[in-house]
Amino acid sequence: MNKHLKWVINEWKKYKSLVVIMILLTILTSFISSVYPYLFKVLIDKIDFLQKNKADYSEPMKEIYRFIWVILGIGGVRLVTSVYPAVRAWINMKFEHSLRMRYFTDITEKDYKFFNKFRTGDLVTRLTNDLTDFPKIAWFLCSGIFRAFNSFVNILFIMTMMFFLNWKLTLYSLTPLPIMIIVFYLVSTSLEKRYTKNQEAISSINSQLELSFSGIKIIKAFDCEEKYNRFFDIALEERYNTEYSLIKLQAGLNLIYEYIGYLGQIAILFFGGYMAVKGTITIGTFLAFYTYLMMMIYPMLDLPQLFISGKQAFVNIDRLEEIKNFPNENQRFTNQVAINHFDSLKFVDTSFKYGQEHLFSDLNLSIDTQKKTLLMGEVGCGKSTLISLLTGLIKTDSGEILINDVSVEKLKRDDFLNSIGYVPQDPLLFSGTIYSNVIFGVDEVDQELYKQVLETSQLDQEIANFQKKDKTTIGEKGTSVSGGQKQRIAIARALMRKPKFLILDDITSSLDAENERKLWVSMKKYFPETGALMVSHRISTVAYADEIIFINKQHQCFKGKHLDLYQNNYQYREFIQTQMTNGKKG
Amino acid sequence: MSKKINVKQNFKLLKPYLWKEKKLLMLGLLLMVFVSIAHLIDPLILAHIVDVSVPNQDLNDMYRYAFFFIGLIIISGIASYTQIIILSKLGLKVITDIKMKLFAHLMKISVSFFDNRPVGDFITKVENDSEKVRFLFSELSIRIIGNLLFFIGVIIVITYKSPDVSVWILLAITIIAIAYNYFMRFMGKIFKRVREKYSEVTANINEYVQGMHVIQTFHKEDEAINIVEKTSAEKKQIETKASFLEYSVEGFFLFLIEYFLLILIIVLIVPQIFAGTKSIGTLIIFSQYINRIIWPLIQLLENVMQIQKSMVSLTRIRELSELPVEEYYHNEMNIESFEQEIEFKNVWFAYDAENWILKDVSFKVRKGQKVALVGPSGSGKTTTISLICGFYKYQKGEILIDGKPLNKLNIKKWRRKVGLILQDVLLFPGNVIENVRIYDDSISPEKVMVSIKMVHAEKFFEISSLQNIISERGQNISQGEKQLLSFARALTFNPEIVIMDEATSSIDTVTEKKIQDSMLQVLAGKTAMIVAHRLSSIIDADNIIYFKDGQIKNQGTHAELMQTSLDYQNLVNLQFMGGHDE
Repeated sequence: MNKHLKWVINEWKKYKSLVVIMILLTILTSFISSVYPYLFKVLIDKIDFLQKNKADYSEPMKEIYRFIWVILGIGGVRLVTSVYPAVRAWINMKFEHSLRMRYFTDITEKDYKFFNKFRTGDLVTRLTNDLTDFPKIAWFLCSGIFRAFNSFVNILFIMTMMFFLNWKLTLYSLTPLPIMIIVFYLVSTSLEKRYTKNQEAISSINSQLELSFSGIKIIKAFDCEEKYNRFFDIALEERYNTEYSLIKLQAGLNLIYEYIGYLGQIAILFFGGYMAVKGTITIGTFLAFYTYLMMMIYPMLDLPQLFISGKQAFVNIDRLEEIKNFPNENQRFTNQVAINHFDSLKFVDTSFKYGQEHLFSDLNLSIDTQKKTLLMGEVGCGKSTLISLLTGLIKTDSGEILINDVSVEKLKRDDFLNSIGYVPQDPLLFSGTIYSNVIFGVDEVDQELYKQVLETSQLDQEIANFQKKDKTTIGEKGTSVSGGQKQRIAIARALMRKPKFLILDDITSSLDAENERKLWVSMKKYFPETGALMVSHRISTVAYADEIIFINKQHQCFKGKHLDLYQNNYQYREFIQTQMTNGKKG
Repeated sequence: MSKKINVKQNFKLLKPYLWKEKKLLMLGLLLMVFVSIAHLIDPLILAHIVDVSVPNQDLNDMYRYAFFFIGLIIISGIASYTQIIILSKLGLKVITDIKMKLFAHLMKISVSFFDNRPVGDFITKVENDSEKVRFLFSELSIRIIGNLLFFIGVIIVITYKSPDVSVWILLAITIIAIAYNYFMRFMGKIFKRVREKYSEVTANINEYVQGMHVIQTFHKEDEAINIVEKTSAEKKQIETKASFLEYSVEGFFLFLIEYFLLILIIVLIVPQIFAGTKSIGTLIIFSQYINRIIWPLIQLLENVMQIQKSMVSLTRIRELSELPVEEYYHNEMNIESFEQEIEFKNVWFAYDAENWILKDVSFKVRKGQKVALVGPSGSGKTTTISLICGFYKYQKGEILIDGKPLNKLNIKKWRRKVGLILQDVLLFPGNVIENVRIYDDSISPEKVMVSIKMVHAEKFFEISSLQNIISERGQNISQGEKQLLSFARALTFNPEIVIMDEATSSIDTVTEKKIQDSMLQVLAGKTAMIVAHRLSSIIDADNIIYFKDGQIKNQGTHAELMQTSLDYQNLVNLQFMGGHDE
């Protein structure tokens, strides 16, 4: 609890002057709204007085008109205070925006462990719905707090007014209220619990309905369309029952809400009516009490809302802080050594654990960065992990990765990243055109290079067939950018940076055998200096590779030329043979 | 959305349901009158106390009225509760009935209807629409009728008290309400822009979080931050503007209602009080009522718009329920049992227009044969088996079953002879037994259990009883086990012809063994057509049909094709021996 309050106070520290403004505005707003019934009381009493003493006033309406100016004056102030909720909303949005940016920036610095733990959808929710929705963080930070404060000041002012008018009647009429409010809260919280439970039930039934239509082919193929109605009977009846009990709950809540108001009215009618008839209070006071009591009930019901919305907001705050506090190992670059060439790549005694399991232990491997190296091995042997170690997405547990015989960690991050071209397994393009995706990684576009890149990645002819050429939007429905094309755009994106070393995590699915051949031919033509490390599941890729790295099931790495490995390494031989006979493997 | 709403037809759809529940409907409406009166009464009691009890110092008179008030609110409370329940129940009953019929109907329409619609979205839309229709009955009708009754009550009372004043007041109130309504519509447009910006923010964050490792390796974090910063700031700006506009204009309206109208009443009534023609009580009644009718009036205008929305929803539901059932559903022709052969005779097929998926396909499958369909993906294999199941209508040529055209057969009776096993095994909601027998309760649970044993899926007995619910989307069941379940389904229904789209996903060796065994069981003594992804399936096949670009390139046994077709050899090397099927 304490740490949450601290967090909230910390956020507000940036807006100290706003706190003062908000407090003043709140007090002014409350004051103006609590003055209204009093005005009415004065008016009624004035009319009553003037009517009873007609003889003394020849023109009673003059008195009234004078009073109308007072009403108008107060009304004018009321008009000004109408911006109060807008100011509240504005501050909410300020918080929303700054929090979103702060935590999003945190996310951009996170490493793979973080993204393994948190799903994208979950993170997005934390930065959008958790911040924006009512009554979550942003709302709570200003509106939640100040609304409660507003309610509190309202009650304070109204009570003061009431005591000022008649303290006895105040005591009489207020006694039943706390009891009613306690009853209301007990009932409504238990109802709300049942309410959410029912709603969960309803959404589960809905997802069941979805399931049944996805299987329509099977239902039809087995001629069970009519039989399947039995499921609808069951599901819809369940839904009917849950909904019906929900309706009853809601109607009950409604009733209680309504009766709290009635109860106040009754109290004033009896006590106030008695006093008015006896002449201890004026009719103006009687009426003012009637209005004040009604005005007080809802702030009273609203006040505890602070704790409910607070609880919800605190949960969401925790979820944000979880993002920030997740240990980050991405600061692996110490930015000491600049590089402008990429001569050698070595793994020295490198170990890496995946969870509890040792994936690589004391791996020693050197890769000739001028050559094309093919990485092979069964699914799960660690190919992608090896690549992620290399691109710096993940960090070794021990040992080093040396580039030009310098530990990667000592390199300048920019230099290192600029010298590699990375093509992920899943292309992961961003919304926008083909063009904007290809040039994603560069600041200035070299048109000549752009053409060569498209040719190398076998995109040029296909793009020429698109109506909007390279201005075709990716991801929009109806556009015909296929999965394979997307992957080749990712290849183009990597080449566009003129990398010294290209890393291709699985090229099998993006290129068929013929396209792959063309790729390597163009590579030789336009990027003769660029070395490559690639993962492939197609045996034919062997033909383009200078060297093979084979990772066996025990995560040991073997390097050599294909023929040498095939002759000398029985596991590699076995692997190649099973690949050729065992049917299709992913 | 701009579809014409046929109100008459919509009510025709609703009428039988409403007629069935007419007693409930009448009772609900009657109770509403009570509730409205109760909401109307307390200012009158106040006025009476001020005008009569206080001047006369008559305590008894005051108590009488106070007790009368208590009695009234008790009755109205009960009435209001019952009325909400009655009308909501009515709405719920009607919409449950409509949905039941609608879902049953949707089961009978053609598969192609669902092809272009993501099912989840579709069901959500149906749900939303039916919720809006239900809303029409419950909340909407309660509010509209309730507000209307209350409004009429107020007019009667104030006109009775002072016709000249009420004319002015009603005029002012109506103008304010209409103006407010226009303002809210205008705000609605602005809020729509806010929502659009918000979804832009969400989309941006989603995209960048998902592609963070690409952004990091391309060192483009700052760009991503800048873009999110920009859209998020834009959202903030629009929303801030919107809320300042909203609250200040709303504040102006509140000023009109609370202060301007009060002054109007004072100016109109107070002179008459001094003249002795009106009482202070009248002033109280007017001042209390203006606050109470202006919001219902504004709501009423809003509700009219909601009725329109509900009508659009109702129209959409009606259109769905009027979709035609599958074409050859009611054909008379039938074959008792499959005796000779399935023949494709120069079949052409396209999902849309002239985009031919199958071009002049001809082949025969004789009874008892196992036929494998192979070829690159998109070459027409899956379409071919869909045609045999009668999911789509072929455009040219003929599919003959024992010499009779498939188009003329009663499709339901034909499908009963066919067992379909799909690549993606979808589970139905409900327990394992219902999943295997697809809610066909003429099949006994015992029979289902025998099939489950035959496919070695006894696991389902072990972990849990068969009655146990398969959790949402079958996450508690592995892919291989799902396949076993779909084999059990085929065994249970015991079809004459098995049609199978083999799964491509890799499966652990233990399950793989079970699948091989079960497949033998399922196919034993059956005619079978298999879209093959396993080497064993093509080697065992009596005939292999090799598809390419919607045409049949070659036919024959594995040994024959390896000899005669270079294409086939390549395909086998690529697809079945370590290559990748793309």
